[in-house]
Amino acid sequence: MSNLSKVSAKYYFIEGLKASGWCVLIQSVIILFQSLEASNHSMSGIEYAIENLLSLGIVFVILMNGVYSMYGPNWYDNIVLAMGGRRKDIFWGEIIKQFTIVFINSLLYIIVAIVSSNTGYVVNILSGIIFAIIAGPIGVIIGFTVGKFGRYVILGVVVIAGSFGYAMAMSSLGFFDFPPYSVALLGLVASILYIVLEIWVYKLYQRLMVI
Amino acid sequence: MGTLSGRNIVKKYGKDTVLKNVNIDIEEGKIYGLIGRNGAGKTTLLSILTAQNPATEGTVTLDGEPVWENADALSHICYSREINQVTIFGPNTLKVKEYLATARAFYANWDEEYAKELIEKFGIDTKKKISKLSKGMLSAVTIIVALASKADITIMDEPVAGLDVVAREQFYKLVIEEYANTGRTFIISTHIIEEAASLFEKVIIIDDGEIKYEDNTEDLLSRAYRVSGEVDAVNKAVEGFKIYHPESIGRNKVVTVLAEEPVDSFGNEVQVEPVPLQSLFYAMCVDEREGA
Amino acid sequence: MLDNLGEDKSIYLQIGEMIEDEILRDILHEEEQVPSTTELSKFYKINPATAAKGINLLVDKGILYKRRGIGMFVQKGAKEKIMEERRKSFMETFVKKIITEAKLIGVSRSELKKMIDSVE
Repeated sequence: MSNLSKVSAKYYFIEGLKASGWCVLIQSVIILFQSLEASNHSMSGIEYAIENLLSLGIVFVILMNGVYSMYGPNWYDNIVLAMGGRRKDIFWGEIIKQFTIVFINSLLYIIVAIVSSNTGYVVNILSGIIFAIIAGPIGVIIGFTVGKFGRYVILGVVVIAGSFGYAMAMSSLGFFDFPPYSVALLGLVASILYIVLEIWVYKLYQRLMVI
Repeated sequence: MGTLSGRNIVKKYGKDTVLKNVNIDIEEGKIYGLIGRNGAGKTTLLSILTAQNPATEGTVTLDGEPVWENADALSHICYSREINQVTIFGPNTLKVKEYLATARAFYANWDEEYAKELIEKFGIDTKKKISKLSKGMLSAVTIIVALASKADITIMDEPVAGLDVVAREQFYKLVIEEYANTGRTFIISTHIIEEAASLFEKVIIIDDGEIKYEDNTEDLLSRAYRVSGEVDAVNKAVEGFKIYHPESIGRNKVVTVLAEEPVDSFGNEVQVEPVPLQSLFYAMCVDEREGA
Repeated sequence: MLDNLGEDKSIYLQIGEMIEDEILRDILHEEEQVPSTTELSKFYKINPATAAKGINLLVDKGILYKRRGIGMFVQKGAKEKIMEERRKSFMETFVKKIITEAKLIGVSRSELKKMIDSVE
C-alpha cells in the first residue's frame, strides 16, 4: 500500500474518531439532562435515560453518520483531493470513517446495555447498526447530488431521514418480539444493498473534482 | 522527477469547450508564469495537470507516467488554490489550523518550521475560521500551504489576488528565496503580470482555452517591439511582421510587433521601444491581426 | 519586480552592466567579491537564473572569475577591459545619438563642438 494510501486511511480514521467523540459528547449531555428530569417517571432518572439511549440512541447514530457523510463530497473530501489525495483512497477513507463512527457508538451502547442489565436491547442495537451503516453511502450519494440540487434537497433529506428515524424508533419498540434470525436476514439484505450502494459511490468518487 | 506534460487536453463542460487541444510541458527546476485573462482556462488547465479535475480528452504524465490517481506522481505535486469561504452547506467553518493540519498530513515533505515562520510573517491567526478570513489572509494561507509543502512541483493559482502591494512584494521575495534555496519547480498563474514578470524564467500565455505562446520570458521580450511614428512609415517598417493592437492618433501610429527573431532595425523613419510583458499581453488580448 | 532596473534591455544584461559600472566607478575593486546570484536575485526580485546569466556573461568576458566554494570575484584588469569595450561601442551608444538629436533640433556641428568644449 502506498504511503499516500496509509496517510489517507489514518486521516479518515482520526476524522471518524473525532466525529465519534462529538456523538458521545452530545449523547452524554442528553443523558445528563434526561436523568435530571426523573420526577415524572416510574423509574429512576438514570434508568430512564439509559432506556432512552438504548432504544433511540442508535437513531441518532444513523442520522449522524448520514449527515457527516453528506458533508464529504463537497467539503472535506474536496479538501483532501485538493491536497493530492487519490479518489480511491478517499473512497476507502470515507468507509473507514463511517465504520469508525458506527462501531464506536454501538460498542458503547452494547457495553451500557450489558452493564445496566438491559441486554434485551442488544438485538435492537444490532439492527440499528445495519441501518447506520447503510446511512453512510446514502449520505455520500446525497452529498454528491446536493451539488446539483442545492439546499432544498437537504431540507427534504432531513425530513425524510427524520421520519425514517422516527419510524425506526417506533418499530424498535416492537423489536423484542422478533426472533434473532430476522436480524440476520435483515443483515443479509442490507449487505447486498450496501455493496450496491458502495459501487455507486465508488463511481461517483471517480468523477470527483475540486470545486 | 521529470517533466510534467499535457497532451491534446480538451475540457468540456456540457457544450462549453473550456480547453481546446492544449499541449504543455513543464520542465523541472524552473519558475513558470501562466498568464491569461479571467476565464481563459488557467485554473481548469492546472486542475487537469494535477489530476484534480478529469480532462474530457487528452493525457497528463509526469516523467512519462500518467498522473491520474497515481500516488507516486501526486506526491511530487502541490496545487494550492484559494479555499472556498462558502460551501454548499453554508459558511466554511473549518479553522485555519485544521486546514493546515490536513496539509501537514498529506504533503510528505511538509516543513512545519517553515510553515510556522510564514504564519508569523503573514500575521495569521490560525484559530480563525476560514469563512471569517479577509481576502489577504485567505491568499496568505494559500501561499503558506504552497511554500511549506516543499513539493517538487508547486503550483499557485492567483496567489497575490488578495494581497496589498507590501504583501505582494513579500511574496515575490519568498518565492525567489525558496527557489534559490531549493530549485523547486514553480508554476504561478496570475493576471497581475508586470510585477511578477521578472520572476518567470518561462512564460505561458493562455487565451480562450488555447496556449498562445510558451517561451523563455527574455526570449519572448527580446523580439517584441513597440513601433511608433508617422502612419505610412510605420506601416512600411512593420510589413511582414505579426502585429498587435494598432492605434492611431492624428498621423501618428503605434503598433506592437512580435517577431519570430530579434530584429536589428526597423529603419530610421520610426521609433522603436521594448515592450514590457504586461503590455505585450494586453496588446495580444485586445487585438490580433496578422502582418501582411 | 524591478525597482531600479529598466525595461529597455534584457534583465541579465542590465545586471552585468550594473556590476561593470560599479567596477568603473571603483565601487567594486579588483579581487573584491561580488554579490552572489542569490543575493542579487533577492535584491532586485528577479529570477535567480536570470541573475546567474548576467554573472556568467561577465565571467565569459573575463570581468569576473569564480573561486570554488567562495563566490564570484572581480578579475584583475577588469576595469581596463570594460573601458576598452565601452570605448568601442561609445560611438554607437552615445555619439551617433547626440548627432541625430542635434540634427533633429537644428544644432549645427560647430555649435555642438562648442557645447562639448564648454563642459568641464
